[in-house]
Amino acid sequence: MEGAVALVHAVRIADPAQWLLRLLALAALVGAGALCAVWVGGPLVSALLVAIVALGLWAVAAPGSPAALLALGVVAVWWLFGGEPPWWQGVVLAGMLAAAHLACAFAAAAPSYSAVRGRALRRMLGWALGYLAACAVCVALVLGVAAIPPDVLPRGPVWVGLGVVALAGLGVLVHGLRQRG
Amino acid sequence: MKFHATAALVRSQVCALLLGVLALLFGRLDLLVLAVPFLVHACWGLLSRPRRGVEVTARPRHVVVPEGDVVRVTVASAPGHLAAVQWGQVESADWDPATGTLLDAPDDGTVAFGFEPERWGRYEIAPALFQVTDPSGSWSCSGATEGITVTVRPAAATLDGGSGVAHPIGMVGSHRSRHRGDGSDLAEVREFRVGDRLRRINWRVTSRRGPVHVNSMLTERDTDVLIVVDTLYDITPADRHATTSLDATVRAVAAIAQHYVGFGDRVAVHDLGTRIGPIRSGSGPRQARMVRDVLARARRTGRDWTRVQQVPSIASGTLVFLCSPLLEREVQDELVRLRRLGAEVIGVDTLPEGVGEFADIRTFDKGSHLGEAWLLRRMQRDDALTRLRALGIPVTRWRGTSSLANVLLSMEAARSAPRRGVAR
Repeated sequence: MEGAVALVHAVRIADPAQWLLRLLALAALVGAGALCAVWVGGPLVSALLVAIVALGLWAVAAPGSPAALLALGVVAVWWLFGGEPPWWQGVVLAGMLAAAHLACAFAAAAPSYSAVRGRALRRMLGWALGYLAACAVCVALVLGVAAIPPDVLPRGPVWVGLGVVALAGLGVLVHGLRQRG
Repeated sequence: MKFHATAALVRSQVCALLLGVLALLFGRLDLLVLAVPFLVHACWGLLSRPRRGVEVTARPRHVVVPEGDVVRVTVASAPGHLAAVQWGQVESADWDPATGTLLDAPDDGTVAFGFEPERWGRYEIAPALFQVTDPSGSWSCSGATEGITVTVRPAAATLDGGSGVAHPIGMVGSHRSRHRGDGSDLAEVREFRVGDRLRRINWRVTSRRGPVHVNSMLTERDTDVLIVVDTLYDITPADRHATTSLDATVRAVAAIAQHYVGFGDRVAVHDLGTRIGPIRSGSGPRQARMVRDVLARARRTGRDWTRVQQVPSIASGTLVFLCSPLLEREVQDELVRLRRLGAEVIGVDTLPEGVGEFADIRTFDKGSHLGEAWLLRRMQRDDALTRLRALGIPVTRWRGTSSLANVLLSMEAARSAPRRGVAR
């Protein structure tokens, strides 16, 4: 009983900005689940949706918990069994997952009842827009490389090698930027 | 304090790795696209990893403010990072923001709060909990700051009205006495005697009458003021935010001390209980500050004290203010005892409003008889106050700085009133 009272009290005193972040995370996770239900389907649609909603609610209450990771895992496994969908569906789902991931990261920075200053909100919005822009550029890069005809860039082990080189290059770039910064 | 990886960084690394491996194994471009946001976040987290820890400090550590002021409390953390700070709730004080918890991203790393004490006293604020997170949400460090002590001095308002000192017993001060000497108030014009100062010669009267006449002056003296406080109980009205008897007592003591220190008198405080403690006699602005500092440290909580600590000794002619709710028989007896020792005694009634008043009878709790009991208690007390007034001890209710004006003015008027002769 005391736990329920504490929960109700926590909901009553939650700051509007915190509500915004946590509901955004929930909406993005549930939206990703809904997209999987529509585009992938399968025999366990209801169970998977319920699991995603439950994990999403857990992530709303405790954004720093493993709930968000588990929810993303459920979405990823569900998507895995969907065959090869069109590229744009993958892009939309990636956007939803990025929004859920970052909203949970920011919501975990403070308790639900903490007041949020306007400049903190503006900063988080700026960082989020920058992150989404970087994601969009990287996705465009991946899709662009994938669009190269096979006779120009053969598939198979060459792709694996290309991927390893790209990851290594990314690591060098990150290390270099840190050294300079 | 060192930074540690958050759940968000772990999530992005696990998801990027898992989705990347699955994309490779199954040759699925869409899985690679899903992995991109997590890979980008992991790189962002690695880029923004703090190079060193952060020291978080709270200021001020100790502060003394007058009643009614708001204290600005700041917590300094890492600039450009998200800083969440949580202060605990303090009784009889409010925070701005109301929950005492704030998330901010200041350029200089300083997170500011407003601390608003409702009344005088000492507030020990427990250390705040903080969490500092980098812009990507990948690294955070948490801990606790130092605690803060806020001492609120009672408001130092001065009483309205005169001094009320009829018979000053000191040497040099600003109260008119009956003794002839070197003062500024004219007593009479009389003939010159050997020893009179030449500058006291009244030439106008001398030219009219012939023999040399001089102005005879009344001396000005200071006096001893003793403020006796009754802190045996702290009577609290039903409204939690209303003034209690201890609040009224403290404010009355501060105002009376401020008033008589202004006249240059020596002021001392004696506590019949244990919440405030004694204050030795002294004069000047330093004594007024000391009185307010001691009052600010008075214990509001704690066990009530039942045994009256009587005033050990008192010089005849001392002006005594006894600030008390006047509920206890022992305190009323002490009032009479001080009068019999030769002091000029004034009772200051600090029983708060809303306690045992007939006008509040409709709001009495029907489930208990506490309201009716207080009503009877107050009627008994009022009867005792009537007997005290019949003995010549003025008792006036404390309602602010103008409460004692009438009493003080009437005492000053009584000093210069003609004495009544005994009828033959």
